[in-house]
Amino acid sequence: MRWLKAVFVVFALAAAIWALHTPHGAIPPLGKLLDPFGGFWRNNAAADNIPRKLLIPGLRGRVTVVWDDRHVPHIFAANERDLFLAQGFLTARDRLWQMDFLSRYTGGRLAEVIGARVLEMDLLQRRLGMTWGAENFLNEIAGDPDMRDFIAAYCRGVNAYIESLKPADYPLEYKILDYAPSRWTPFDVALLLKYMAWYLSGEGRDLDLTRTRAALGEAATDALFPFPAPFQEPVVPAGTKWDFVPPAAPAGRDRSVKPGTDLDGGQGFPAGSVAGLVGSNNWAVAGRKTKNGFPILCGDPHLQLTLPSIWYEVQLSAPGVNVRGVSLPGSPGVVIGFNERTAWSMTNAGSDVLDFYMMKFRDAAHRQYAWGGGWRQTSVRHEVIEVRGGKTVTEDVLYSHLGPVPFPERRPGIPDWVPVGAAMRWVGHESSGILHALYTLNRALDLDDYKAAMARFDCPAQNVAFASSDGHIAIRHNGKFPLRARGQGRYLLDGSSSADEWAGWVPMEQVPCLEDPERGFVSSANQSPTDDAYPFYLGWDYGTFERGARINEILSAAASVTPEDMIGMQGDAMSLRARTILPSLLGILSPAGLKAEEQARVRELSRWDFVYRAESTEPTVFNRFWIELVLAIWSDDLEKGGKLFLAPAADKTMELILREPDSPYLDDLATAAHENLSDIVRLAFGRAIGHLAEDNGAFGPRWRWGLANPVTIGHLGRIPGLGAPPLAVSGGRNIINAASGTHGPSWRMVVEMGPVVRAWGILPGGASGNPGSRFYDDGIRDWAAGKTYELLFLQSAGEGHARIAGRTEIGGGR
Amino acid sequence: MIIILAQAVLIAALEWFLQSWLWVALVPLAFGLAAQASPARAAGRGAAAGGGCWLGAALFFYLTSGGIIAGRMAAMSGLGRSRDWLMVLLSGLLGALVAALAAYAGVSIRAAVRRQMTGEKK
Repeated sequence: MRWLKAVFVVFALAAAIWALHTPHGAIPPLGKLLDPFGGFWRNNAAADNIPRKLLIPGLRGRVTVVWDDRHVPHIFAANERDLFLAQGFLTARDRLWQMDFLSRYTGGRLAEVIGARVLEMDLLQRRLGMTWGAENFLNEIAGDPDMRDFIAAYCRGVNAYIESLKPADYPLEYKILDYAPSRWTPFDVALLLKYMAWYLSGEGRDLDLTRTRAALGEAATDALFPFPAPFQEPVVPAGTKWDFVPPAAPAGRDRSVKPGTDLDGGQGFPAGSVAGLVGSNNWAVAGRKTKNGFPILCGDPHLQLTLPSIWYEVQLSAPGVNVRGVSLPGSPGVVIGFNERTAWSMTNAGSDVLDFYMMKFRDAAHRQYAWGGGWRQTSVRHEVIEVRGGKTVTEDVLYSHLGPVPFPERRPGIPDWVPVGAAMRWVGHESSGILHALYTLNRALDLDDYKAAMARFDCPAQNVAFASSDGHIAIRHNGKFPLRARGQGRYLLDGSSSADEWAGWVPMEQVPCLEDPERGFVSSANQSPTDDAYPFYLGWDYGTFERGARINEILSAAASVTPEDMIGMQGDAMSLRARTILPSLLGILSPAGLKAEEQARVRELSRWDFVYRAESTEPTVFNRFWIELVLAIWSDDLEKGGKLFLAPAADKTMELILREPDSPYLDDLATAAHENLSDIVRLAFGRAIGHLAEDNGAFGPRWRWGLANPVTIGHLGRIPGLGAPPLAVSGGRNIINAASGTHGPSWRMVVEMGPVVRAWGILPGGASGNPGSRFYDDGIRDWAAGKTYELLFLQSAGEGHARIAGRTEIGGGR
Repeated sequence: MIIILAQAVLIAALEWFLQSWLWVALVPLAFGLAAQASPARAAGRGAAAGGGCWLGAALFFYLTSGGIIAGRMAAMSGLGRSRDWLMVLLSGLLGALVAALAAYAGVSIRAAVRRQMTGEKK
């Protein structure tokens, strides 16, 4: 009996230990996690304390790190190799899990540490060729000894940090997900760069647009999705003359997929297309328009906002370089920033660098595909995915000479935008000089250096704004763009005809650019790069006009500009959409026939100044009104055979309302009656007020913009509790301060390029990736309020400043 | 009391240096095997040692630099960020439960072995 009891108790103990030692689905291993000696308690704010000395094996000289009051490291090294080694170490110290997670996500290695529930995500990344692209990147780096050495030094720094860790020191997320960090390699760096390239230039609307064309015809589709889009103020102003002789573009004689091609799949009428996408802003003002006579550069790249912050602030200083700005955690150098002579910032170019080709396979084995009148062999890449707690999965991904064929056959779980049986050609799969370009940009002393850097800046293509202390400003719509016929690649391409293959590249010296324009400023906000006079076709799906036009409006009228003016401008919440369209809509909404509640809202809108203030209710009403209007106009017209296709952009909808009031699209096909613009507007307004009341209750404080549409900054791994509470922010989509939903300015920066460079900036988060740190989210409140901090830019490690929190001396050791 | 203190100190030292939470079970298990005590008494000592050790350590971190992380973990657990202090109690409670069960198991094994040895002598 005693034995039985003993066995039972021991069994109970073993079961309890197993249960507490092992993660169960989303439940972390509680024994490990709650253990105060090794669990979450060790991820406390004590890590914020600044060590006086550190040892990083592999350093050749001494490195001094000056920490400012926001925990930003200012790294001073005796040589560049040590600089990158220290950058790797310190970035890992603050952001190790973030780097690891994004690399695993991009490379399809999450199942290795999380398990089978993320296997499909991994498989998709492999099928999209992300690992292949990363390998191509490394092949390029192999021929660039300097870059290879700097990446190696950075990785060595990261690994030195990893090796210094005991399990109790692991970042919190490792403890929650119950795995250990693995060695950081150049392949991880390449994957991170591919992550950013895909985020900014992947996916595409080829499938949806092709399905729309199949339903409506090419003429109607071209009318609904015009290029250039209406109201656009291009990055390079319309009318600019191009003084180069372009290479001949291909005829593109067969630039569309054959009728009858299987176009099933696709996402249909996406909710996101109603609201529109957020984007980024940048601009540079010439000295003759500024109060101090110095150029001012401003930038606020908009991305999905997460904690830890997407960017990692840093200053990097060694002989030949002294650069300050934000880096991509896990990759060496500074991406957006400034040095003593130049400053730069980026917005996404949005040009089309991904085409899908519908392949014609010889048989179901997919070993051969038709090409140029003959047959070509496919190749197979074996992708091996380790699965935690499960069997290793090997996926054979099919490749054509164009690129991977993610889904040769129909199967469950195909993403909405990937056509079945299509090969993808993406610039991001090619070898890339992006890291070399950033390296050169970090050291740029003048306009020529900037242009030299841009010559290797390929993917993701960006609008790179520039200002220098010698008085120049410039912007380039820079990237590696395929040489194509006008409109080629807008629809799915015929993968059996060589006529549609990319015919080369737009010469880097002929990409759209603008230097020291007469108007005294350059700007971009994801809009069209040029007007139709530009000799190359780059794409069609650019951002709508509002932010770009608003920036140009303010800067055109500006004189004696100060950095403070520019900081305020980054927080501008004027909606050009509302200002352009609302007066016409209100003219239609006569009080007769409206309910008392609706009349009250109309009266308020008629007095509104079109500014999206967090505390105002008018933006909430207009925003919902616009969404209902778009749905009322388009959803019936685009519905064919029970499927909905791509919605036209907001600028096309505005054009329809303002310039085509008799358009047949305004009639609701779902009713027997013939509706006109007035009917649709009144219907949409009634629906908007009704939905707002359902969502927010009777009209009152809950209708305020900031409460009804808060900005949320969640945790990168979607772990509850590690994000920020909802934020009430003035601004929104298509507004300069484009904070909306889960997206917004991921970094705000203003730089005055005087003899002594002065700069301001803020992250929607903080320097640390540790949720237990004071510096994890210390910038969020001020970011939401539109404030920025003056950025400490030191000239030497010994320089004194009231905002210096401490110094760390780093030595080499073995 | 000395036995409780000895267990607590040993748990803390072994966890700190050998980096495993399992010592909160192994130490009371060993004490249960070695000490002459009733199962209830041994379990009580284990609970006091394991719970006290974990509660004390958690309280130390909470009061010195762990308020932020405790709040985040409370939010993650669905308790709400303002109930961060509950995480101290949870750590202490878990340490106590595991240690008590381990001590009880140790005493039970000891009792079964002694019974068998005594029986064999007879």
